[in-house]
Amino acid sequence: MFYNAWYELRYRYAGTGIGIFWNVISPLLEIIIYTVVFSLLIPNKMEGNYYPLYLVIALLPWRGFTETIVQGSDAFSKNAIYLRRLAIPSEIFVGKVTLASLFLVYIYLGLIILITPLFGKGLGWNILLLPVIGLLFQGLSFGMSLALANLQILFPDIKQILQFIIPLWSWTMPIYYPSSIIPDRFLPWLYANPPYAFLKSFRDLVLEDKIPELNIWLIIIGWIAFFVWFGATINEKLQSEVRDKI
Amino acid sequence: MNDDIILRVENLGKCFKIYDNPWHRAREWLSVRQRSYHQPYWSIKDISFEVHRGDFIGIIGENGAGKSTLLKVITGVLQPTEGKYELNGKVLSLLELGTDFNPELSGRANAIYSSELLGFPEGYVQERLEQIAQFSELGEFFDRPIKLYSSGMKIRLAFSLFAFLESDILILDEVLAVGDIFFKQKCYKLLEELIAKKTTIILVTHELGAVQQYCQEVLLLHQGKKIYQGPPKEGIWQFHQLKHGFIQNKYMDIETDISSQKSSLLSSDTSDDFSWPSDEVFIPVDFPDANYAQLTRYAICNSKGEPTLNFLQGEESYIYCEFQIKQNIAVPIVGLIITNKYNVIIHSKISFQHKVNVPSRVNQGDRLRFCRNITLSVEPNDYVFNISFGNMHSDHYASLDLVSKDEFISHLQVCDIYDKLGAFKVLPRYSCDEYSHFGICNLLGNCQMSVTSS
Repeated sequence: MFYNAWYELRYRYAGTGIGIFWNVISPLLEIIIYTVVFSLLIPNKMEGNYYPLYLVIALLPWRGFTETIVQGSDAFSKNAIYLRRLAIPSEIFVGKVTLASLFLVYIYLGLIILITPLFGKGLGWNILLLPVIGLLFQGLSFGMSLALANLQILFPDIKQILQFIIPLWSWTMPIYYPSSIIPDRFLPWLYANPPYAFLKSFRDLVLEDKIPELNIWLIIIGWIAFFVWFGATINEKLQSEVRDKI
Repeated sequence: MNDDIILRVENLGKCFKIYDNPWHRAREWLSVRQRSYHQPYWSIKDISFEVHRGDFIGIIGENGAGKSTLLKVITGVLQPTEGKYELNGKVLSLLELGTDFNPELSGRANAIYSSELLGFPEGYVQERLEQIAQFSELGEFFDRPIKLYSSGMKIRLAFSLFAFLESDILILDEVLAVGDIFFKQKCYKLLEELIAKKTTIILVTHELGAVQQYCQEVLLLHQGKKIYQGPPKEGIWQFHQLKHGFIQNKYMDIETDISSQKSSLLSSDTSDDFSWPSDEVFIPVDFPDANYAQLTRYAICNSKGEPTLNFLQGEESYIYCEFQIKQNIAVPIVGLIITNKYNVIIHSKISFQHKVNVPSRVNQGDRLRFCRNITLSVEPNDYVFNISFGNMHSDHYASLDLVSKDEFISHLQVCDIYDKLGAFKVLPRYSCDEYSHFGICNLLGNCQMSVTSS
């Protein structure tokens, strides 16, 4: 399984010259672009001097998350060959995608830890919790992808729908823009958006060296529990129909 | 369950829901009154059978008869809609083999990956990799990406892999249809070894020759139903009838159809010097559209008079046809054409080329019998035979030895053509004898050698 997920990561860039290193280079380039854009071109001091950092800390895990959703919901169609003739549990294919994206998220988090000091920002010991949040975040995307993977086989339109929903979704919470522009009374409602609690925790850990409060942990656990249960239920209920259709 | 029975299938049925639009499924879920938006399609229905340990079972049937659905249900890929099945061991299925390899990975990596997907621990296949590499005869290709493989190579790899994974039931779906003859022989030899080890094999194929040669029992499926189970010879016979539309939907009447045919033939008389086999070997066919001579049945036998579809290279074969004459004709003429699987004519000869004794007139309602024996001095392969029927005025026929071939043929009137009537297989010989040869056909002639010392 691990070998498989590792292979999957390599396979995404199969045939390219430096293969797996694209996984590191592309986020790195993105960090550089944001840094240049925000610190030189828009010298507007938002969120202190760390706006590019603030942006990247949420954006890279978010990218890992959406990549899991997009690839995970497509996992059944991609592996239709196996699902059509082998009696292996279908969730394995979504799991494989999730695991591959987890590696990616860890690479992103590693990059974030490496570049934070370059912005003149100190790191506290609480960053050790980053991998835990990263893992939980992928747990959330696993649950969502598992449900979507089943539904996408029965309703192929979902693939197209996701393509415009995901960019829209990223604007429903403060990823690109600072949370300070949102009126205070709306702030608690942001947690109703499942990924928000995770993204906020990443920022708290890196920028403020602050362990998320208990209620945020509870929200995180609650969302994971709900979506993993939801994904598993959908998967179980629709399994037979999915196999018939695929 | 009896320990000897490895698979028991009871009243198995599988129904697929067909929706005009995918969203109709959602409407059906949300429908309060349980309205149905789909059309049910029963791919298989009421199938029951038992398989014993160490059996070699063949499943035959036309495309879409439900063979693959049945296997998918047995292997657990699909849930049966009704009925149940019991399995007493591990199943390994080679459905449409070789297509599920990852093209970027090497043969070796694919072997590991596939066996992992099939639920074997990683160390298990590692131990057998060398054997697999050796059996597949892939050489250095074993470590090259699959995308560089030819399709035959993929099959080799897949078969080699599956053959070395242990299981109680091995399902082979159209697996051995490709690959060269030597590899095929090797595969069948290996299958025999597996059988000796009490592995059960279920073979799904269109190669009836292989079914006849290796299977102890066949299941014949037609339109999702089991219409025959028993010895292969009989099963293949029924399959041929199906192909010619003889029993199509009225399979329940098989027995009566055959018996009525037999009784009607009792009255027919045959001359003593004319070799004609017994009624059991004939395959009845149904060609109601024939204009002059309706082919009613045919048989293909070996020199012992046994019906078969497998011949050895150089063996003698006998093809028999019986026609019901539909209108008065002059001299009847029958041609036999043998083609190989590329539709190349291997042999074609018309009855007048044999200078046989012919009647100058045949009347409506008469029964005409045609027999032709052929020494199959051709390369081992699959062949198809076609029959054509013609007639010629007796005056023209009398000029057979007087006029040129072209002029003679210009008087021939072709009446009915029976294309792709049947298929047979020529198998290679194991020893080098006078019947064995290379190339597509054996040419008559001798060979000598002498040495003159200087």
